[in-house]
Amino acid sequence: MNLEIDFCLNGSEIRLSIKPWETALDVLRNQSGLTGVKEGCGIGECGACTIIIDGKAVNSCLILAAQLDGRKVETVEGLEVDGKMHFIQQAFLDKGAVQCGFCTPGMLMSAKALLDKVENPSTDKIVEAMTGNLCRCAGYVQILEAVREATCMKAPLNKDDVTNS
Amino acid sequence: MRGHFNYLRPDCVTECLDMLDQYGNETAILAGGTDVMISLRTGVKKPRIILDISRLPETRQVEPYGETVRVGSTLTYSELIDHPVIRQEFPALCAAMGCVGSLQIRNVGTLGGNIANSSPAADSIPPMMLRDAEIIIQKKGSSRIQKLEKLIVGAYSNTLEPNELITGIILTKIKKGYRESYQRIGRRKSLSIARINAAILGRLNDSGVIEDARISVGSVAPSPMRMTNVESHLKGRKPELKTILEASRMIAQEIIDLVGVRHSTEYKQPAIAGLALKCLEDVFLDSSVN
Ligand SMILES: Cc1cc2nc3c(=O)[nH]c(=O)nc-3n(C[C@H](O)[C@H](O)[C@H](O)COP(=O)(O)OP(=O)(O)OC[C@H]3O[C@@H](n4cnc5c(N)ncnc54)[C@H](O)[C@@H]3O)c2cc1C
Ligand code: FES
Ligand code: FES
Repeated sequence: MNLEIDFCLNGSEIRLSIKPWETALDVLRNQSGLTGVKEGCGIGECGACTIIIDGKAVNSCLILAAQLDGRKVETVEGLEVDGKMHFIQQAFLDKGAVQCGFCTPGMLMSAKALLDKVENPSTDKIVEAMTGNLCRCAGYVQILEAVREATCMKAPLNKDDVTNS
Repeated sequence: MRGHFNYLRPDCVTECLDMLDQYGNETAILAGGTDVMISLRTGVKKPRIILDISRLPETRQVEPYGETVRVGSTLTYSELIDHPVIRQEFPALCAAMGCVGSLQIRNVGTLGGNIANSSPAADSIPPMMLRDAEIIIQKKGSSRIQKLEKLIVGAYSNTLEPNELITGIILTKIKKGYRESYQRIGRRKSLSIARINAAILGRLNDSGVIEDARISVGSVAPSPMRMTNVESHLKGRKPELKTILEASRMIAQEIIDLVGVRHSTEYKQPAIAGLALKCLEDVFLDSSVN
């Protein structure tokens, strides 16, 4: 008893045949091969599985794959374009915000959802957007610094986008 | 581990009620899924069908109507917190919704789900109780409206039947001169369930005397409860610090009397009093300065 779902995954329209009980996390990892979506806790508490659906950061472990139908879905794999890192990824490297890296994809997606929506977020807003993501090694100070740094990098990059197009 | 089930996603309430009428007993409703997905994972729930109600258009609107606002049951916490009418009319509810889980949880979790789950620690319930919350419940061919206090009958227990759907919540708008506050204590700021939570709503009359006081405390009893004795104690008094302190101690004492003395009482009693004091100060002391 498979279900067909159609959705936009990292910019491409795709169709998948899934089981009704599979989570978005299962399907993105096992069928689409997007292993940047990590399972930490499986119960919505760590944020390692964070993806963006229709512009909002959500825990893919708490979402059925069937719920992706008709949605716009972004995972960490969609950040890099033409071999060029996304500026949030660059900021994480620059600020030493990655250690084992397990939490990083989720952190990047939470940061992206915020920066896509808010031009210049306050520290409170940044903290609010990142508290659903746990890290057991790198340290939150570096991670918050990286997001702050990314907000500064955003403006010039947007100008590039305009001149290129 | 997760059992096998079918997935249905009705396009409108009528279709949803038909499905519930037919399969209600073997169905689990899924709105945001933040409670249901956990029960499916642990095996606490083993439905044959998951009914996804998250896209029912009739349950996704905020409609002001005279003195009240009708809030759709499947709107997410994030959608509600961002909604201008909700922000303006329901400050304590917004504060409470802002305490739920994490942003990822608030981006999918719904008010309808919080009510139907009926957890003693549900953040949204105490502030809604103070606004005379009435729950709109529909089933095939009929509908009923029940007061929130009456709907919830105990811990994780309510009067909803398997074929019933919460479609909306009717809340009374804030009246002139009223102020309200929501406070909670959890183990940490985010991603922790409230240990104690309280909402207080009140108003001073022109001579600075407490004219109305409504207090609802959650997490300490099987369901969030109104503290009517303390409410009547406060009415007719001036909100001096002494009175407020006394009221906060009464709230703590009444709760301890209700749940009995336990190993946690020594921590809980002053914690409840402190929390109640914060709320009472927000509502009555700041306003007397203005
Ligand atoms: C990590 C984590 C942290 C959390 N933190 C908090 C917290 O701080 N405070 C808090 O209060 N809660 C918290 N919760 C619990 C949960 O997020 C809330 O109870 C939420 O409001 C549930 O809404 P939902 O839409 O996700 O419900 P669902 O999981 O979709 O449904 C919950 C229950 O209600 C039923 N139901 C849902 N909608 C309806 C409807 N319209 N009509 C009839 N029945 C319905 C479902 O069948 C199910 O039994 C947390 C959960 C997680 C996983
Ligand atoms: S794996 Fe989803 S939140 Fe931890
Ligand atoms: S870098 Fe290891 S968990 Fe965050």
